[in-house]
Amino acid sequence: MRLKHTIFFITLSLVFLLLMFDSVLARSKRVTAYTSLHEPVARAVFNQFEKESGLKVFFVRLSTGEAVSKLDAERLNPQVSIWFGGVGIGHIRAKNKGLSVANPTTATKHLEPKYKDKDHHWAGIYAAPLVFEYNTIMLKRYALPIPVSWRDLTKSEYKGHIQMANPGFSGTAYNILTTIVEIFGETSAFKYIQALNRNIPMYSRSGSAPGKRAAIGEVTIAIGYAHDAVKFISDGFPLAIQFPAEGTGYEIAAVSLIKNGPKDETENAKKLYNWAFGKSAAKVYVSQSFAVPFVNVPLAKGAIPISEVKTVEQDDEWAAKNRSRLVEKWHNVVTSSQSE
Amino acid sequence: MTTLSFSNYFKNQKITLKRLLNEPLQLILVLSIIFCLGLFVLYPLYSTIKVSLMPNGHFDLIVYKTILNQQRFKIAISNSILLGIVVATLGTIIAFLFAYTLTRIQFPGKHFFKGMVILPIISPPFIFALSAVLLLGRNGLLTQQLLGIENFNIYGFKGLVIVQTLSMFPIGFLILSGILQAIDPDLETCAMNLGAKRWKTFTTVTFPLALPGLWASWLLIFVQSLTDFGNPLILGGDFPVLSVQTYLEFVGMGNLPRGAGLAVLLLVPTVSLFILQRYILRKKSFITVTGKSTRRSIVSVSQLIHVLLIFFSILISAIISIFYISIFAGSFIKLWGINWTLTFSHYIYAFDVGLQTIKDTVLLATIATPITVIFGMVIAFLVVRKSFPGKNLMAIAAVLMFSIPGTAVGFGYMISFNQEPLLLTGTMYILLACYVFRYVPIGIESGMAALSQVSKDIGESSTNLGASSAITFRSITLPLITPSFISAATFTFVKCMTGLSAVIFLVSASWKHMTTLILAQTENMLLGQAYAMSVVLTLIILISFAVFKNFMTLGQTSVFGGISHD
Repeated sequence: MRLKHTIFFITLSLVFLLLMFDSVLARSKRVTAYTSLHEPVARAVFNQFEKESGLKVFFVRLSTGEAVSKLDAERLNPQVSIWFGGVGIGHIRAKNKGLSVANPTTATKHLEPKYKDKDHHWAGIYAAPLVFEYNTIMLKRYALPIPVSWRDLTKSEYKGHIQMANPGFSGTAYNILTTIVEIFGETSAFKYIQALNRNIPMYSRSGSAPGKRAAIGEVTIAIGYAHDAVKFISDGFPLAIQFPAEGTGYEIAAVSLIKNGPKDETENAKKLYNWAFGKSAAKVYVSQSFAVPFVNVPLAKGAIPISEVKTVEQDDEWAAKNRSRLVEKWHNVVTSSQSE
Repeated sequence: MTTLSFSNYFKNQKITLKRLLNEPLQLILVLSIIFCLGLFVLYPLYSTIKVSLMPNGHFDLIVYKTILNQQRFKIAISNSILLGIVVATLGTIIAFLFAYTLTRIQFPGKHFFKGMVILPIISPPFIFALSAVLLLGRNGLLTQQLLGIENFNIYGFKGLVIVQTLSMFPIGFLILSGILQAIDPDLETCAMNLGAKRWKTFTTVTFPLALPGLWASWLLIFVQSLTDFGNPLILGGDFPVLSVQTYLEFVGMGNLPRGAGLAVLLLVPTVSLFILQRYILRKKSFITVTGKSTRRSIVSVSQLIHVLLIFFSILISAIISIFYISIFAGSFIKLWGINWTLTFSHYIYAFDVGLQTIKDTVLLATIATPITVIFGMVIAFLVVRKSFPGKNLMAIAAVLMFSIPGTAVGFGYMISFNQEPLLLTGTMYILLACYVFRYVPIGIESGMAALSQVSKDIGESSTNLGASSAITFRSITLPLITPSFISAATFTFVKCMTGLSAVIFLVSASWKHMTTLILAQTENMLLGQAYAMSVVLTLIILISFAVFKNFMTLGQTSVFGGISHD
């Protein structure tokens, strides 16, 4: 009996040591990253990079808003060396807060100036327009017309059928909020939001969740980025997209290097940063998410280049500076109308 | 908490101080424990309160003024309280009926029912929210596919009441079944022999005796509901609650002072209920455990109620089973409600993305468990067997953490340990410290329970009979405290594996936790992957049970017997 216990205990300790050893060993030759890409996309992107570079990427998926807060909280002891993906407005906020570091590189020289930071703090990997995504089966079941404009979404017949994320967490949702402000002007925009809120039963934390919910019919209409929707359509979901008549906003999915990130990773992180704007990365974006990168690669069938969409005059610098104020206002408008 | 009364304590203070100074080793031990508790329990608490009261570097009540004036925070506060009251009441009723059925009525398969109730305690805290989406969502198996209900909205108050009640009533059950077992059925038989009807017996004997237990159960479930984080985050919908708002305020808005203020608001009711429970209810409790088991079959309820109660227990157990089975099934199904093909892809994905996370989680829990339990037992030993000044304070500080909501703990740690010389954020040490000091009350409780069984005399007799102190320790003390040690270790391990609310503030890219990954996947609608990860997590916990059982033959009730909170 005692022998049995001893053997058992030794085995257990060995397993434990192995586990520990593995965890420590795996921490060399690596890049740690926050990513705001959809998790399966991030997995494919980093797998490809690992294959090409021989480095190992450790990543956590965070929404754009979460990523900025987390980076800010870790300011004195940054845990990651790169923030990969996520709405450009968030990357501008990170720069303004002094969280990212300039990285002048030739890897981004092919980008139009509006798709990269003039001080080289961040640069875009692809652009994606906002779009309405509706579940065709659900739309038919509830006998609803296709919403063709931002105005349409506030019609009472859509009550309980629309979903977007919470702009406090999600960069996508903040992008929607600023688009609305840019279209209607701030005062009317918040009146519009009050009306829209009556049709929205809940706000998710992740910006891509509403689209996925619409794809599987958990919700009828979602507001999200076009490339995510196109991916669902090509996967066979009963989903269709509609660009709003008034014009729409767009994201510049971007990458930033983090200031004072883990020292032994700096060079590796730069490698990942430079790689992000190249062709082989672009191919992964295209195959995984139907995004339209800024590099010339064959696009996925159905992918929508930003140049073919009617976009609003968008000022991301302004959006980044006014975030706290606008989100606070949004919270107050949304919650006080909920209590009515 | 202490065997010494206060007057005695003060009278002896001089002597105890002298005695302590005579034992330098013990002095160092006491001082280092006090230092650790001060650093990892009181300091984070102090930082949180300070940030909320001094948002701009000087004293200012602006944070609390804003919170109490703004509609959305007022709604969150009243929502939290409303939800807590409803869940605590429902949960306690179910717990009482369940406990009554299992302790008072004889029927086959009791162990199965007990097992079903234990399951929610050892699972990730938000597992019911996950399965609620599968069963009761718009494409839910029950709502849409079976009942054909079109627009059932699981997101919000209704859904939260369902999942919280199901996942929290088991704590009430543990308390109440302990108490009902301790009530001697002879008392009930006596009442009936004296001519009381069954109902009268119940209302005048059984119920009053169980009342302290009912209170304890209600309070515990109330606090649990108030501090629950995972369920409201997944199912909250348009029903904002305090714990989620705290996280949102920090993560969404980057507003530390306001997040701290909300954490403090959450802390006030939980700490006061903790004090209430510890010092008022404990004194009121008049249960006397006589030591004899009361297994006799007695029928203090009529045949009809008897059948109804059994039916009720079967129903509750069945509901719990359905929730678990749906998670298991969901992890093998391509896309629930749309594409019912069987697949292993979620598991492949889970291991591809999450293998490092699984390793981190298990590693941290394995390191933290022995430290936590030994630390707790040492504190218990000092508190029970030794006397020194500041003992009461130390005991309170050590168990205080159990009453602090995880959200506040995580928040406090995050803002306290993020700069030199206490730069711990992002390392494994911050997670370990959080585990150890959050769960050390488990070690203390079982340490105290063990020590109460090992009377000083036994050890002394052994020594008097000629055994050396090493032999006494090995052959007398150790065997007597091992069961408590193992049960505390099991429970601590489970807590480390399933904790979410504190951990979510402290995980980093280098050290991750399975529960936060599951939560993130759920929010990104990677549901199949989240289910697969939950199944893996539950399996790891079940395996750990087998491992701990190998050390010591223990029933589930003895594992969870002494531990009834958090």
